[in-house]
Amino acid sequence: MMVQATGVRKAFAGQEVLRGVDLSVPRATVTCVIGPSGSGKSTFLRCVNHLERPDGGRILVDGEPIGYEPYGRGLRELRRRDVARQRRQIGMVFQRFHLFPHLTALGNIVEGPVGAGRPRAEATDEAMALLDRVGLADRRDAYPAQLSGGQQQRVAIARALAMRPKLMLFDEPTSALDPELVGEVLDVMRGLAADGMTMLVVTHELAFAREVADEVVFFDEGRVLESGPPERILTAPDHPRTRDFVKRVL
Amino acid sequence: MEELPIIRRRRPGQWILTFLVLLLAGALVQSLITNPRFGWDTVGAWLFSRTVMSGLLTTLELTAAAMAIGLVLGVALALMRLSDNTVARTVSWAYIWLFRGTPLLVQLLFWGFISALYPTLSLHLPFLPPIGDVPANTVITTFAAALLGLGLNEAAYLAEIIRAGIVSVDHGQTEAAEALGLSRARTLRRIILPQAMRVIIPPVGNETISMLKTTSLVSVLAYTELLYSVQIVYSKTYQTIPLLIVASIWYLAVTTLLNIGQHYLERHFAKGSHR
Repeated sequence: MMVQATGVRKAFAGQEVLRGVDLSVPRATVTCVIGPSGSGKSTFLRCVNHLERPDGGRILVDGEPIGYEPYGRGLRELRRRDVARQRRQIGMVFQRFHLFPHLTALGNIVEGPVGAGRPRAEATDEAMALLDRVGLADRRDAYPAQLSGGQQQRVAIARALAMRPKLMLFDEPTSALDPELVGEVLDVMRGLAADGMTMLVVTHELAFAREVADEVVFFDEGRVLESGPPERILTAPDHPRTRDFVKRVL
Repeated sequence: MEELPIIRRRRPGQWILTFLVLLLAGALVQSLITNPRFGWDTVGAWLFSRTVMSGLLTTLELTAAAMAIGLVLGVALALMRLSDNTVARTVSWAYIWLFRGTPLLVQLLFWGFISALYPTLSLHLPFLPPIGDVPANTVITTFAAALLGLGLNEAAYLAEIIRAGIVSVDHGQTEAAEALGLSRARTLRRIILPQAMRVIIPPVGNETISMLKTTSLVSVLAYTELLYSVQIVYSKTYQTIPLLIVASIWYLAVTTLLNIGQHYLERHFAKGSHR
């Protein structure tokens, strides 16, 4: 298992957002998380690279507990630099891209590897290959403000891939895009999945989930209500709430 | 449809205003030339004199050194203020409270007369023998007192400017850097501060220009910067106005240079903000 989460809980100011999430992502598979807004999908995703601290439960990535280490009879939070080391193996793509606006496309991609101590020349070569892979080799010197939303998100994916992650997290990667730009980002993600990348994707693109996902997980009120192969979850779910949601979104 | 030419609207108000302003400016220039009490020959005689030049140099040194102290300490105080360490936050808050809350003039005098308070300087920690024992006046010279007064005070103001700049950067930037596993120092240096600069530079430019003229306060310590150097001259020659004009010309000249420098700095840090 690449990701193994058990009983993950999280509350914001007394408001329970995650109420015991169990979820596993096998190696080299794509898991799509769907569900109504406010159901805790994004919060859960952010717990997987410790951008959010879970209040309880356990998240293992490639067998390693994320953000905490065993201490006495409990767990204690890791030092920042250890959390940073764990995060380097987990790529993250945000809904609103969060590219660094003062750096070029190439600069954005190179920043992570160079920060991790790789030689700049080597990181630049690899960044060029990644830009080529997301179809933006000719935009290497463009600043984010000079790129369309779809192009920015593709640079953001390349930036995450530059860390050579073993797991990629996508937090509604197409929700902030104009409809005609969604396809180019989904194409890149399809290519990644075909290359065997392990992916955990929070999305509203049910067509994408049906086509690419090995497993679809339906979140509702901070819990996994049901999960299974996309054909079943998206066409004949067990639970009426899932049926309702799928009918409304499709 | 036939293309119609665009005709500029006439703006008679602007013409009238231009005429009035030119009239007033003309009157001012005329009085500058014809009023002998401006003493332009005296101004010319003293403008590049050794006394004034050395005063100007001191003013520039004080401004640069005080701003340098202020910036280094200001960044540290801003980071402490934003840290999740309660002690650091409180210390920074108390520093800013003290140095912003008392007049700079008082702080300058305090540093100037520190030997009245502590004739010798040594550090006494509980359970340890005292460290160092030197006469205060040999360490805190007039120059040191002026620099401490200006620099420490400036740090309190710059800390708030820098903090505001850091806070203005979208939190998503920090999250993106964290998700890449960048260290805290690198995130600050490579991601946050370059973006904060756009917000920080204009008020820091303002502070620098303000500091240039605030240095004249150190004349209370009998330290000879630009203003005090011309005061020394006119106290002997009684040519008060011409010598104040000499000082003003230099303050204006340096301010102009600082403005130009600020323009290029702003342009540098605006990278990526335009299409």
